[in-house]
Amino acid sequence: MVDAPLHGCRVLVIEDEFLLADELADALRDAGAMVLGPVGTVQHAIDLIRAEARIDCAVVDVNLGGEMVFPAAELLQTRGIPFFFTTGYDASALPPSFRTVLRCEKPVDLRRLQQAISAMHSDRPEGGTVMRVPTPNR
Amino acid sequence: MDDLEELMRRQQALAEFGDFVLDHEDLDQILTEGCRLIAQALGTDLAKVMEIEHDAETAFVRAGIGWRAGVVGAARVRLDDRSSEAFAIAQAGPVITNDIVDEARFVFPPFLRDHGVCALVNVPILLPGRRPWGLLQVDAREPRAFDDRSIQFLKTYAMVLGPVIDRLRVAAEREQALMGVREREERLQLVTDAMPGLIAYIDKTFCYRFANRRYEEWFGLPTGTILGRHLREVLGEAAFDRLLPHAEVALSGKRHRFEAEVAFKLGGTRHVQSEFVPDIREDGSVAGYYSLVLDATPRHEAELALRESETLRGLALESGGMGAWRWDTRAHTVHADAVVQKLWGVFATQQPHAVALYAGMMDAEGLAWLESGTAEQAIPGESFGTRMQVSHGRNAGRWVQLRGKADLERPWIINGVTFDVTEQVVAEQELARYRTALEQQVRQRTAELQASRDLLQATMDASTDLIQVFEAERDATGAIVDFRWVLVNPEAERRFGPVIGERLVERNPGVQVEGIFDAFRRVTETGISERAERHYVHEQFDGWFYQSAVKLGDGVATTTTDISEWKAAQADLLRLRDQVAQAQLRASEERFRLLVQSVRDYAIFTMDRAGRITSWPAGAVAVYGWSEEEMIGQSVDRTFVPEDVADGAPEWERAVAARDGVAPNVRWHLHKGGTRIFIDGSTQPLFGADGEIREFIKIGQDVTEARRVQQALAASEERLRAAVDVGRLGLWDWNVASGEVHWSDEHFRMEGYAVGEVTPSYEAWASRVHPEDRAETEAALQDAREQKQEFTREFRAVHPDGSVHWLSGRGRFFYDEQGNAVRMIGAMVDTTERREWEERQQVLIAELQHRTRNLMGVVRSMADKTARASGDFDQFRGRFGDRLEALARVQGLLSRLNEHDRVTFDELIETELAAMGGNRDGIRLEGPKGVRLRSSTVQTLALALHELATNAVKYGALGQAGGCLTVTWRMAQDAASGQPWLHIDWRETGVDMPPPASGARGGGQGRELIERPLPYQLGARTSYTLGADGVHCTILMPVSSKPARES
Repeated sequence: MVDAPLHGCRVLVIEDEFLLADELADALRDAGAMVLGPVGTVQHAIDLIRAEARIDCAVVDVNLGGEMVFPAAELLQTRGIPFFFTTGYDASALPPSFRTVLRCEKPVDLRRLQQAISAMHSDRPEGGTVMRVPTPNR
Repeated sequence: MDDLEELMRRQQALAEFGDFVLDHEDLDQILTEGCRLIAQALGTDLAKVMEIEHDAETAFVRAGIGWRAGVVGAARVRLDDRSSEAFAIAQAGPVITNDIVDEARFVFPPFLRDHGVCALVNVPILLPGRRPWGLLQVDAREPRAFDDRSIQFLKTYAMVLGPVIDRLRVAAEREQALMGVREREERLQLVTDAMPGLIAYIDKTFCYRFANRRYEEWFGLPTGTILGRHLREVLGEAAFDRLLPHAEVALSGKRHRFEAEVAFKLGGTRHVQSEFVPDIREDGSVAGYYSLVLDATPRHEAELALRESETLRGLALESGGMGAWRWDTRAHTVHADAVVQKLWGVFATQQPHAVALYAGMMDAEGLAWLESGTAEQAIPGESFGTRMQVSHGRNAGRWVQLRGKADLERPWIINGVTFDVTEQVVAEQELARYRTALEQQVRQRTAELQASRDLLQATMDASTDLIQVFEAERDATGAIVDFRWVLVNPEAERRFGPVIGERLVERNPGVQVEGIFDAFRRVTETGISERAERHYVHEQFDGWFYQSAVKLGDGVATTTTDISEWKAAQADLLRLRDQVAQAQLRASEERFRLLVQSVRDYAIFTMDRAGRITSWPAGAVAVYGWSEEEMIGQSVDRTFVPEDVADGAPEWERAVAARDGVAPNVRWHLHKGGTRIFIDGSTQPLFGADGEIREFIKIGQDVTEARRVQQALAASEERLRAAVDVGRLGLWDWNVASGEVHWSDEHFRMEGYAVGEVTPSYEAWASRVHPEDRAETEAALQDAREQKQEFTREFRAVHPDGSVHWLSGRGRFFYDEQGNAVRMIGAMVDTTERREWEERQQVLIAELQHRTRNLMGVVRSMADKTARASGDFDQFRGRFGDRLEALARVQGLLSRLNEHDRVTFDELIETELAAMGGNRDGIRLEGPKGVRLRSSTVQTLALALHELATNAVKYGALGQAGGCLTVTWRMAQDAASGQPWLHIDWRETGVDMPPPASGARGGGQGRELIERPLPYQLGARTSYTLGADGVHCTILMPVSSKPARES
């Protein structure tokens, strides 16, 4: 499927601003991805991460209505799920443990976002951190 | 002031020169230093000393200061009649040229002009006895009138120089003479050491005065140890007794030659051939004798051997080799056997044959012997014997011995034998030749020795110094107990009389008292020469002597110069100098008086013992204001302030000054005008000639102004301290070496200490630094210290209560010359508030960035959605414009807020509806004011309200006449969460609704903006229904629980 580079890819979207979350989810679906969320609060994000058996990658907004997303991001790191931040902050505003995480500055260029997820998805080693559910490629 | 200084400088120069002379022996060094001191004392940069040369036609620049290369040690001045130097010598006094341009008397050497010399003074330097030695010359580069004092100073200086030069010159000459003596002795020793025989000089007391090396070797003695020892001691008792008659011959004035057997020290006896040559003085007396001894043992042994072999040969001849003959002296015939004929190389067939046959072979001696035998009748039984040489024929050159005996009855008949003695004769001749050569050599060496001795003697005789040679006398343990004169020159003999052989200490016990004996003993034992100046007042002497002693053999050779006259001259000079100094001192006292008069910065005045003022010079007038007339005779009390007078301060000062020599006088005083002046000074006693206090002198300076400045300084320091307090600066001053630290009060507080609670220290500081910052901060401090850079660092301090404070320190190290940090000074400010503010700022900026970027995303997304929903560009522009304005309005509301403010719902709804413009008659708003909305919710809610209002304008209550919009809101507690919720009710009535299927309401997006974002973003619950006469929408959402801002 040429127009669906993210086909079969399960992408979690964490973004509090409805309009942005909606737009992002649409763009990802257009690229063939299966969108998890979007969710707009840290608690919802954590709940979702815990609930989903398989998340291939995540797009994470840093500031969720004044609340920092870091607890959810830590959970993603623990589970070995690759993700990047969509944010207006520069790296120095992030805690040291997240300074190496890829950042997509807002407003997000959706096309490049798709490419980045695609690259991240295909680079992911077989049987990486996804334990319970086999990837579609298998 | 200048005069006094000059005077001091000159006296100082003389004193320094005196010191220098005492410590130095080198004339050039002394003269150069002299020049330097003179130039310094007279304030010129040129000075020199010239020495008159031997021809007295030139003077040579011997030493100098300030001259370019090529003058000192090189330049010469002709002492002709146009020379200032010659003139000064002739005058025997100073010659002054104040400016050489105006000088008509003299022509000056080019090097003076080359150095730009304009003025000069020549002072002759005279040796004791007023013999001119040279000149002291001081040159100035500018015309200058040398005053009498300067000239007097130069004369004094030149007077000092004379004896100094003389002493060194005489010492040098004496040294040279002594060196000459030593050299000659050494040469003598070398010559005699090279000779084959034993050579010695023995004085008439039978002591060795000289011996060559062979002589000492012969007796097995180490070099140099024989001198001074007695013949008996060296030779042994028996040998001495044997030798004594021979020695006496020599001492009687006769040259004496003899051979003897002498016991050899190393065993056995030697045969020596001796020659004693008497040492006869001019007066005919014999002082001793030279002993020249040849070891004749080898020759003697050869002779003995020869004699032995001769006997043996004779025996051999007798048994065969000897010829026999019978000579008839009347008949002139001889009966000779074959052996005789063979010896003579003749052949005779007959017996007897003619004697002439033999006579023809004989030399003159043989013929003479033959003649005598023929001419005189022999006595019966008489023996004859001779030795002759065969001079002709085959055997020419052979020596024969003849022995014969006259017949008892016929005495004209002689019977005899002849044998060959050629070898023996040759040996004897050689022996004789050897002896002759040896004797000649001995004669020659003796003559040389004599010549050398004569030279030495001449030197000693010619010297005006006393030259004496002593030998040590040692006791049984080898310790020196006395010295014995062994040699004196005529000058010494003239003074001491005949002393040769006498003991020094015995004769002149004073030498022990004066340490001379000890000095001689040291020189004898160490070999190190000594020189000393001695004042000897013993026996027949009373005077100063300069004596040097060098080791000679087992004793000393000394030269002594009588320097009594020179000493006397020196003493005179010192006395003279003292007098000059005294005169100068008197002059300086006078000058001191003038000085006091002229000094105005200080009040210097005197008072008697009761405090009555006795002098009141200008300085006192200037400081106190009263004139001299007003003060002389007055009590000093009037210069004191009344309270001090009441306290007895004036009396106290005089009492302390009398007791301690000085009393401080640092207090307020009175000025004539009544103002108070602060005087810093002292009171001291002045003593009269009897040692009693005569007066008091009071010296003081008006320091009122200085004191005012000091007070101002103190005030300024106080202000600084206040500034530090106000600025809340924590200062520190760290003495790195001692570890001592000073903190300002604020410093204590900044680190959570009560002021003075701890002794400030590096450790006290470090212990309060936040553990996370400590290592880095200490490292930064160390870095600053090592790199010599400023220390600037922000670090946290933790107070005992746990509070954390940010401190910004800034300081600098100071270093000593070796580059070691010795001190550090710095200041700190508390930056906690600033940092908090900065952090807040940081948060705000981040928030702003977050919002802006989100907003841009929202705008883009909104444009996208609007574009999709719009039919054409105009429609898009209209809608998008509206929506942007709505967004802008929200931002406006939000940006007005400070941190704690919140947008309230009534504001929001009012703003939104107001923006719609138009008729507001149909609008009814009901609800509490001041419901605070969370900032993050305001934008979403505003957009939703905007959509509702826009639709109401286009299709609903706000767009149709008769339409009515009622917005009511209230707070309610949410059943599930227990949180306060806002219930909003938007109801439009009286609206003419289009048929539901038309879609004209365009509510697709409008509804979307209400029904989807609000639940998602605000957690709201919404309902949206199109009723028969208008839209009804409810929004239930959580809000801030805090009360609204009162406005």
